Amino acid sequence: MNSKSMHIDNKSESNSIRFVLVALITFIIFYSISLFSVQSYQMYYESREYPMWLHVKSLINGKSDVKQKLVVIGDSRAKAGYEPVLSDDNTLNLAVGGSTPIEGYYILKTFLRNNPVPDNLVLSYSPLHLAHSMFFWERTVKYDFLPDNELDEIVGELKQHNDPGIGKENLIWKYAYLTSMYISSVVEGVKKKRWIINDKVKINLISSKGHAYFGTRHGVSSLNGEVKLAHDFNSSELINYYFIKLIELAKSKSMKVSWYTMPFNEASCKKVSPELVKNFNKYIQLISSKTEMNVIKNIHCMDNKYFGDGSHVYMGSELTTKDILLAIE
Amino acid sequence: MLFNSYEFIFVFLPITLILFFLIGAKGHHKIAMTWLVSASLFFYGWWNPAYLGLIMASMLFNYALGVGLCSGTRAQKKAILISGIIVNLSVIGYFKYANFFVDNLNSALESSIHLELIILPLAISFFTFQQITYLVDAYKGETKEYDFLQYCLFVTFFPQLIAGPIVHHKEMMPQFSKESIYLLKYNNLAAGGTIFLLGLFKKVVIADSFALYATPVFELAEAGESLTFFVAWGGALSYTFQLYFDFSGYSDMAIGLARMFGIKLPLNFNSPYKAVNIIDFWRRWHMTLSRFLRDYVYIPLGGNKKGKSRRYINLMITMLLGGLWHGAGWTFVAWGALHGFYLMINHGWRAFRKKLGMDLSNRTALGDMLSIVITFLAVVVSWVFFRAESFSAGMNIIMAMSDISSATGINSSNVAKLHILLIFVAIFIVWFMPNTQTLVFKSNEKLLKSRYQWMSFINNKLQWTPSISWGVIIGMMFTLTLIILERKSEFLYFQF
Repeated sequence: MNSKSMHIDNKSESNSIRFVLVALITFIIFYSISLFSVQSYQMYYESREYPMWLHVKSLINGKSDVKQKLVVIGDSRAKAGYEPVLSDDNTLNLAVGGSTPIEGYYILKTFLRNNPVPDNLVLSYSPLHLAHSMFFWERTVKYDFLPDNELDEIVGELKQHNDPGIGKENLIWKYAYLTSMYISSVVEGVKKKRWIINDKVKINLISSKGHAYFGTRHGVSSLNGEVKLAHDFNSSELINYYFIKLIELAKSKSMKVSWYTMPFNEASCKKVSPELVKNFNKYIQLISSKTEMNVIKNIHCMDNKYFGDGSHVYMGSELTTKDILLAIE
Repeated sequence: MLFNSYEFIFVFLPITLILFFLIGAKGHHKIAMTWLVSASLFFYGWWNPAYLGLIMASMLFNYALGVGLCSGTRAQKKAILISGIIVNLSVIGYFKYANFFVDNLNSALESSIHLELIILPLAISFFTFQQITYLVDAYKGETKEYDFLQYCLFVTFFPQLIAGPIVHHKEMMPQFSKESIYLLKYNNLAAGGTIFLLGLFKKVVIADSFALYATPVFELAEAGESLTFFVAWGGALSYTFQLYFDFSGYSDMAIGLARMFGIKLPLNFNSPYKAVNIIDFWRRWHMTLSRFLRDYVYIPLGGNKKGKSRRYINLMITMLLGGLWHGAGWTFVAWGALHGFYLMINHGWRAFRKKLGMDLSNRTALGDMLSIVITFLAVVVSWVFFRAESFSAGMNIIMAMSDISSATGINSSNVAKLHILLIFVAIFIVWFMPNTQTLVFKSNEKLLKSRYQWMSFINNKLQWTPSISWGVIIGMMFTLTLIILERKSEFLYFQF
């Protein structure tokens, strides 16, 4: 090879090195910007669940000296079914949609770290949310609801206790490093202009002390999730573990712990599997006898007119709130 | 492992490349090659380690026959070759066609022979046919003796193992013997990386977007739903582009990955939707399969040397076998038959024009444009059968595509508007843009020069160079691809 062609070769190699470096740097810069943006601005594109989770996160992490007479921890049915503003005392609704006692345990733990111990704790989850954790990855992890050490603790427990909803694959790293895990929500969010509704939800949550409606129709005869998705009830091992841990934590602080199953609408009551009702009530009874938890109500029915959608009360929220308040008096 | 997965892009590929060049740079070429073979087998076994036994047994068997074919009398060689082909075809016949054969036998004889569902080992069509070509060439004395390690690399080299291109030993073996491949060259890394990323972009951004439109239409057709004119055309066109961007994207990735290792794989796509007739289409689409079918099926059948009618029969047989190669199903046979028919018409038309004394090389821009559109539409129709789950679903779509009375109005939703926009963008890309090879390999003057000056102008203007601006473009394309990689899907050609 003569010196001229060697010179061309060297030049071409150095151009290629420069090209590879520029491409890599461009990728790192743009990718970092994209990841930072999707993780920092979820309020602009996530569903209306996001401001609800964010609100509870800020409530439990914010330091306060106000002693609560009652805190309610549960899922979306509890979020819709307990209105703290109807109580004359200080009460809070710390329920979050799609959550299970896994999140419930860490909600109470964090709350107790930053607030005086409340007198009462009311727990309320639908049968589906005691059977499997449907939204652990999509909400708890994606919304950055819990700190890393608590997420690691849950993943550690997964090795001992199975959960059919969470599975065995650890997806935490994906939500930490992959923009692609957020992009479908971004597209939906832009299409639906979610930043407008999320802002309203956030403002309402502050004045309602954590209460939020889901469906807002004046009566529905559509069916709830139990009718559509389940024929029987089997508790998840992991959820069961955290359910007991949650009650024990409250008991260790001398809190009075009660259970309240939010009502099914009439339409769902007629169609729900009797096996599911029987086994769910049996399960709650078992937990109650193990932990001395007071059961306010098992699965019960309410007229369709009180429901805003197939699963959540709307007009009936005053009734369920009064039920709960009456029971803890 | 998929090329479009995080574990491949960020773990497997960098580790394989770095270790290969680190070992190679120290002069341990055998160890570097062993590393590459091991990595390729790991790549293959990622889906199901149970398949590893099959591919390794297949390699051992064919290598032993290849060695046997290098010595011995002509009769002995012939016996070895025939037994080798029979065993290879029997293995593929069992895994790929046994269920299909039994099902058809049962329905023809109204019998109830039971055969458990046989899982098709990944890439069996590719690695089996690649090794059959090796045996045939060894029989013809066209191979040299290579050691077993080199042979293993020829079969398992991960960039082309799963879905081609189908390579000849004479294209690969001399390259594996070169000392220069063990030295990292940034030119190869830059060009190979660019081709890989362009392929990844085609697959993830374009092909997978079309899948969102194509799949529901074919599912509706399979369910027996009646489709309207526009829905059927929307589904058929979407699949036409999905398949092209999926498979050409895969081929680009394979070629790019091989280039990073300093290995040149043959071109597999050359803008097939720019074809002016169906003969031209098959010179541009899945070129290495076309070459295989021509060299190992069509020519051994007699090609065009045994008279006109025999030539047409040979064409039809070749295309029917090509259809069956893609899958054990009557829809694939229908697709092959349709292409056989197209080729017969094309050859007949050429012969007719020649007979009239017309100059076939005399072409006009308008004539070319019309020819491209007609060829494209013929190909779209054939893809319907290629994609359909059943013959009736395929016919359902074809009937709707030809039922102009159901063309009562285009869906005006945003999704439909986006779909139409996507189709126009794809048409622009496949008809007016240079393909990846034209874009990246400046040295390939033949590809750069087009019949039309304006096209040559575009090709030259868009020419890739390892410049800063191209670095920024490729970096941004990589970002965009990774951002939407969540809808991970397998490559369509993996099933073949």
